[in-house]
Amino acid sequence: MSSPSTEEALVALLPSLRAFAMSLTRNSAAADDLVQDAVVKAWSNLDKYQEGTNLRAWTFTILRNTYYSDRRKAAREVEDGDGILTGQLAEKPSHDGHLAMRDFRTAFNQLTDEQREALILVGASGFSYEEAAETCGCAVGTIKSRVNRGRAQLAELMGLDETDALEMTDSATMAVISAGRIATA
Amino acid sequence: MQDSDKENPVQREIDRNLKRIFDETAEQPLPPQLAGLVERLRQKEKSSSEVSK
Repeated sequence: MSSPSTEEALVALLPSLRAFAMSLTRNSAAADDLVQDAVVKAWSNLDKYQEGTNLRAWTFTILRNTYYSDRRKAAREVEDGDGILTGQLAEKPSHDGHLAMRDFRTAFNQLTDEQREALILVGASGFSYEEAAETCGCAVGTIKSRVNRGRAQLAELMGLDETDALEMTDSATMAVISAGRIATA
Repeated sequence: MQDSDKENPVQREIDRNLKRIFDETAEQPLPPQLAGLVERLRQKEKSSSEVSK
């Protein structure tokens, strides 16, 4: 039996669970189904959740595991195994200081599942690398590689020239960024 | 985010947009399928436990 505070916390997590699901499924109907399945599983397994621990990470883990489990069952490949870009945007987007929303989402949807989830967890949801690694069941270094490669591929898809930005970056940071690009996700 | 990541303006812009597409969905009202889901699960559990008494 769950405590009222855990139930309230679970309800409060629904919007962000839905946003995370959307980044995985890239389809709102599928995202809603995924959230429903994940919440039912979380509810059924609340006896395994330890009160006071990170409920957000626990439910996000259930959701992403459900996503990958469903994918395996469907035996449908939605990405290239090694993350090769499947296509560029038709036109180079104009730069007005902020990336156009539609273009960014289009580019984001072309990344691999692992890169999208790493970027959303770390870049948008505020997970630490350690929390994201625990949620994804991989090493911290793997998450960092996926985030770096995802960002690099986004920049490439958006036609962003990093050299201008990198001119302002010191050589030590450039070495870290380059190493992140070379590391496999 | 890690401090070194904030040094790169392109990466900062990418992260801003990641948050935007995340918030775009997170700020929407929940669809009927999900609104009240936890309450429905709680009610179902409550009625199951009452039946078993």
